Amino acid sequence: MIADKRRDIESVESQIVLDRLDIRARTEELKLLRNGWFDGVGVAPDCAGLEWLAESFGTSYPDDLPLPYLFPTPAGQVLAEWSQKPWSSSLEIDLGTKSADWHTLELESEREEAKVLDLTNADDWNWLAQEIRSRSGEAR
Amino acid sequence: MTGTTLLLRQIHPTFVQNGYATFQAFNPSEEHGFHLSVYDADRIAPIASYAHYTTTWNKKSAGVMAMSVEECSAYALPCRPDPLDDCPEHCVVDFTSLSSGQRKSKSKGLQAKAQERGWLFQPSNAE
Repeated sequence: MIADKRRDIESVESQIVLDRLDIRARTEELKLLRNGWFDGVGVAPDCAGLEWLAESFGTSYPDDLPLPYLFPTPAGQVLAEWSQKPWSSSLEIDLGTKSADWHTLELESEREEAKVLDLTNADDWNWLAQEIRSRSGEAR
Repeated sequence: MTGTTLLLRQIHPTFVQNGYATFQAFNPSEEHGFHLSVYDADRIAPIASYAHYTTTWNKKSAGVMAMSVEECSAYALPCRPDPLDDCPEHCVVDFTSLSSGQRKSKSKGLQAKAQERGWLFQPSNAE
């Protein structure tokens, strides 16, 4: 029966291949978290905040740059991580204030840089993109 | 415990995406007194540590990663046995007396070492 149904599909006009780190798909996963997700503690991230984050990455983060891994924090915020060896970069995003703490560490020299970003400001998104682009010579 | 002793760390499932573990998994919280809880691999195998963690302690784990005592020492992180009644293999990596920024940097360093080593055990239903 399944085979018969498959024959009914004559062509596929288009297909969308999601990046394995697709931001929209990941934020939808994070929306499923409930309070207590971290061994009984851990605040669930705010769904409206996650929606804002997905939209912001979609409109403000260049398509050609590597996407970050996204994780919840026990405090209910979101942590973005880029593994661009020898650099380990992260952005701790406050979904309420829409600000973020940027931190990058050169693993061998232990040289590090930090900056607070305003993710409602296009200039700060551009700054973030430049930082990621400057470290994207190697595959993640 | 020697310099080459591996310290086994259980990784919470929510702290893993596509096999990549966040540095948060190596950054102890204030609730834990800024002590990273690990198992002494000279005394317990990765699979046995996973079984202990998920059954005796009834906590969630996506699998086991590890860093060595020497690697912790390179980041000036003291390690010591911390035997418990129900876990004689228990040890801690001491992050006390560090600023938030220092804890972040050192946990990123441990994350990198653990990632280089790879997963030592993952259950068959891991992502």
